[in-house]
Amino acid sequence: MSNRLEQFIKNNREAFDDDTPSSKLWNNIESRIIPEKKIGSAVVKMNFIRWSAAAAALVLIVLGIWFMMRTKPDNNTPEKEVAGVKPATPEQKRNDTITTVAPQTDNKSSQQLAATTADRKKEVRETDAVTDLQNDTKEEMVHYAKLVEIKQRELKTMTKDEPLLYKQFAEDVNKLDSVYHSLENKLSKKQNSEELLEAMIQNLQLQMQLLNKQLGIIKQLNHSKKSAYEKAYQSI
Amino acid sequence: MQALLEITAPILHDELVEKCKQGDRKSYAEIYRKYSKAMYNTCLRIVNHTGDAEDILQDAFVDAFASLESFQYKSTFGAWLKRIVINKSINHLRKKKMDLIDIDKTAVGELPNEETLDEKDVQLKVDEIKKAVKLLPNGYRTVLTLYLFEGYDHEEIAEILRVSHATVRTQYMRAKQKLIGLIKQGGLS
Repeated sequence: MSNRLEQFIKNNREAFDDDTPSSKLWNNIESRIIPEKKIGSAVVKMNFIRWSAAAAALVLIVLGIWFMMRTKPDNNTPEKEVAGVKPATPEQKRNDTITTVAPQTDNKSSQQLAATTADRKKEVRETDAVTDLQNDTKEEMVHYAKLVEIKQRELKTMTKDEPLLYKQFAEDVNKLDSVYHSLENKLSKKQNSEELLEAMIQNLQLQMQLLNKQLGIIKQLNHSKKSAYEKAYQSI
Repeated sequence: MQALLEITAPILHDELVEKCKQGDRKSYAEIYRKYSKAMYNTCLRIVNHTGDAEDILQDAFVDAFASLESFQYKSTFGAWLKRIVINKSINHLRKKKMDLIDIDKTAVGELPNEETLDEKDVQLKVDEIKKAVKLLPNGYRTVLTLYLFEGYDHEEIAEILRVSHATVRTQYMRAKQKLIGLIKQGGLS
């Protein structure tokens, strides 16, 4: 089909907009908008972004307090406890190597009667179990770290047209992440520290929970935005 | 095409719009200065009456400023504002009970083909085209200007006018044929 007309208009598009509205039009508009604004400006309107930012901050504070309360006692006595002695945490319940270690440590009193050679053997076995455990925890950590990464990427693509919101979200996650890295540094100085590894896993789990909450907020926001747009077009 | 480009380009936060959201008087005036002329011409092409176009433009700006909170950078501010102006213009035609769909009784069921359009012999000039567009009936003019000047595609126009896809297509073909005819006549006289 011949598109000469279409092409001509496209090339000369500016030239077609040569009519100008009356100069007093702006005065009419200004007189209609200014009084309305003065009334509205006294109160801070809570729109969805402000609400979600407030919600994200609250979540972070609560998680932060909970995290600090859980990690403080661990920092005081990081080396005294070994994996098997500590009462069952979720990781230990799942971990087969620990369940085999645990009864041995519980029966310690009866074993004290045994010969010193047996004790030594047991020590060897225990350290074996500890390294096993460490490997398992490391695997678990890698798993969580991957999940966190996936969630972060998802969040980034979803918040493309909300750069401010994404910045706030990223700040929240980064706070947790910096704690994680300081734990990692401590770990590299001290070997065999179960408490540190556990704290790191907990940190990653927290990061994941936070990211899930943020994704939820974004999904809701996108949904409400879409419907708001439809409404705006229909009403105006 | 223009509107399409506006929508697909990455949308940055518009500082001027943000200032308006905070109620800055100067920014309102600046926005008006920046967009009023283009919006006025868009409106004028649809309603075909300078007085009505000015009233609609005034309403559109007042409404846009009042509902700035609902503008969330899904499109550029210009595209958003233009859509408000167009909706108001079309509502104006509807209120006046003007037909948004024209049926050319001499050509019912027939689609003009390439030969009948015969664009090649026509001398194209901005003024001539403007004059010819003003002479088109309301329905033809609306579909034609939305497509040719505002850059909406057939699907978007169908949505704006609440008619079917196919209707927009035939209306546009007929509108274009009529426009070329009018330009030819204008050129001869």
